[in-house]
Amino acid sequence: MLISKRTFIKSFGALLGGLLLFGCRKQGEKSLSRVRPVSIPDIKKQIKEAMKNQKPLDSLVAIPVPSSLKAFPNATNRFGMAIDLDLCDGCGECVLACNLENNIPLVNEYQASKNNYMHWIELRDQIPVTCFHCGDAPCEKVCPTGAAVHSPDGVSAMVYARCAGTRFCGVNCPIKIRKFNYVDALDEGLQFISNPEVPVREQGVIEKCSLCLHRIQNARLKAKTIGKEFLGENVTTACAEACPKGAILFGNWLDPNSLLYKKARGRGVYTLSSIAPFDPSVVYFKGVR
Amino acid sequence: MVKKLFIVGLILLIPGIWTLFQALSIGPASWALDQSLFWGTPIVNFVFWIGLAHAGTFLSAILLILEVRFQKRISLVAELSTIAAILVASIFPLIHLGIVSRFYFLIPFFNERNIFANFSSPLIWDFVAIFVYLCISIFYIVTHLLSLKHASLLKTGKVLAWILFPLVLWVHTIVSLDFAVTTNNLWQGAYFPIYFILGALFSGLALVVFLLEVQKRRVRKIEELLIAASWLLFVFWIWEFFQKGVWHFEVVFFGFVIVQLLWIPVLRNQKTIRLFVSFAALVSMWLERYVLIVPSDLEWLPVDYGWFALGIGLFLSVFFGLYLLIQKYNPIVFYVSAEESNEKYSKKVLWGILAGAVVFALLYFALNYPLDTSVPLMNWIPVLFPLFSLFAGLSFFALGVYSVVPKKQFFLVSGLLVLILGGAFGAFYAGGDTNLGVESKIISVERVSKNNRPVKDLWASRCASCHGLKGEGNRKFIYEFYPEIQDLTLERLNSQGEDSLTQVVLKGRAFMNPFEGRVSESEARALIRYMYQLAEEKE
Repeated sequence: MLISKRTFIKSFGALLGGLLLFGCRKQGEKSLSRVRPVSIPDIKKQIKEAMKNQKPLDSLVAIPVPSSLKAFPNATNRFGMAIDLDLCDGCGECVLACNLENNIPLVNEYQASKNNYMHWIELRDQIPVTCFHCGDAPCEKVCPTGAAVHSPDGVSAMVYARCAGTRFCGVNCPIKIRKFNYVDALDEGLQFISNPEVPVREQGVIEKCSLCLHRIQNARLKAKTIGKEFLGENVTTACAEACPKGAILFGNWLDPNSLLYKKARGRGVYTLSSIAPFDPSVVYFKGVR
Repeated sequence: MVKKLFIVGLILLIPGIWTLFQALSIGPASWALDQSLFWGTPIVNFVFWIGLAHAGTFLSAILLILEVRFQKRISLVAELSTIAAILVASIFPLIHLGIVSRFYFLIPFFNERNIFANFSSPLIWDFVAIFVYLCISIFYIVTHLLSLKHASLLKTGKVLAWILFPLVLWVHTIVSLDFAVTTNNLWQGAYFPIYFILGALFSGLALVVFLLEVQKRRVRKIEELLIAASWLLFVFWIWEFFQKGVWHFEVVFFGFVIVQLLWIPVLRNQKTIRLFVSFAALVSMWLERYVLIVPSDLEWLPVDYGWFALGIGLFLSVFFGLYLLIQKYNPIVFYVSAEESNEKYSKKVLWGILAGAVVFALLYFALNYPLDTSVPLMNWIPVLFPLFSLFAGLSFFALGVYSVVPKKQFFLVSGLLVLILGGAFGAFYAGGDTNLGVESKIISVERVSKNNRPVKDLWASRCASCHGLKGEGNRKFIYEFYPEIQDLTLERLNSQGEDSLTQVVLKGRAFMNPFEGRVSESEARALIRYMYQLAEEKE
């Protein structure tokens, strides 16, 4: 051997120790210098970039109007949305409204170059696609920690504090609409906090459309205060509110007085072919039945 | 040769540890992933290494049960490779997590908060199966080593082999179910468990060919098994082609075509060719998992390459480290085996331990079940079966060791183990802070003092959900869960004082949650000052 055993062990140990020290170095200062304020034009810019490279869309298939959930047969609510494709022109206003409502972080340049935006609503072939809140959601079945759960109201919810980031739900989502927080947005100064009602997600958890759960809860509280049964009146999602064409409708599929329920009459109800087996709560309206 | 490979392993560990640091500090963004591909190279490496682990068990435990002659010549090498490969394999899923410190969320163990893992998720089954598999593999190899001195332990080894036999098939079945239960068309198929088990066997055989070559030995039967396994896999590849239209030339070339070289006596008698074939088989199995898990073409980052250094380095250093250690105390151990023994356990013992295992599994089931009635009975089996095996394996192992080791030592070691395990279980039961490891990096104190806006954000993100944006109380939340909160007045703030209020924020009080670890002390103080400001604005 060229070097003796003792020399080898010494140099090996020194190298290992050096690497350990290098790994433990203080990195606190770096993050502060990177903090910069996020403005609405920044968000708009990323939305525009995302709209430029749109992912392809599955074909649309007709489905029946959503009815009560298998898991909660006695529930009075099943919240959902309908996107009217006859009215929608793919302007992207809903994406901006969603970003501001839900404190959706920007992504850094590297992730942006890979088209990894955090937007909860995406345009695919000029059609808005978001979480469909499947009644029989594949993501919830495989989540090991129970962070992805269904509420009795039909919302496929995320418990961020329970998420360990195995990303199994993302793998099992047929349309891959779940977003993983690859970057630490707070640390890199990419977080825009515009709505204190929505928690800021940390690096390493999955997030997705919550159907503006905070708005639903606010409306529920109001209804409770005056002692009324809550069926989803006086509440709408941020995207529905922002749509200039009024193409997005929010409502309760189980309430015959809900606008959503009424508008569904006579309309063709569609969803993406890969989502069709899972009983989606968010659907597309197109043409007449 | 052994020493050289040990040193190679240690040297490879240097870039390996760098990879580990990189992956843990940057997170999943450090290897090739995007928003539609969530499982990347760590999962590929996990499936690959866990597959290598299985062949060791196959070659020692299953062949022992089947009373195959050449088992005796390779069993210890195979068992050692199992231990080293499981250790390597178990690292990858941990690194893969988005928040590594929350790994214990995946342990289906009772906890203080009555929050349970989702028993329908294959990852839970995975966790239990691999943990139990590692435990019993360790029992098995220790029994093997002890049985060289104490022949009475041979019967324990045989029982453990019987426990390992279904378990090893089970573990890789569960790994294949990670894929087969998903909605991805390319991952579906009832044949997946058998396909995965065969793949595991094939790569493991190739590894054993290499490890025996290191010892300057050769077992012809294993080469024949390698050829047989390659043909069986070839059938599956053809099946996949007709079913799904998937065909990967490189996988078939390395995994099937090259292995056929072993048919030719002139070639197979050359050491280089044998090593080449075994490496080709390993490469093909790695590629097979890669093309299965990572269908899209993503640009690799340094960490993706680093996994090789980490995996191979750790495997070589653990395997050959243990090898050298064992050899030091018992130099001939790899070439001999204890003589035959036809001793068997009495029926009473067998039934007793079986009954104990059933009671243990039922107890676990009963403790968990009422809390999670939505889970169908079927989904409990993947958790109950490994636990059942663990209890049985542990009992037999303890019984066997008890009979040969001095009583004092036995009780000392087992007492220590019980203490450590009890402590670990207690820690899991208590759970941790869910914000563990995530430092509060929202706002630095300097910015708090200069500008009012950041502390406002801190208040909005941490406090406003209960106390309201202006300190008026968030009716929506409090109404449902808590009693009325105190009115925010200057008078009340002054009666408490800044110092004690800061402690309340950090340590909590009555219905107020402790925020220690989530906000720093100076931030807590800034929040209290902000409360003063809010109270002033109000008046």
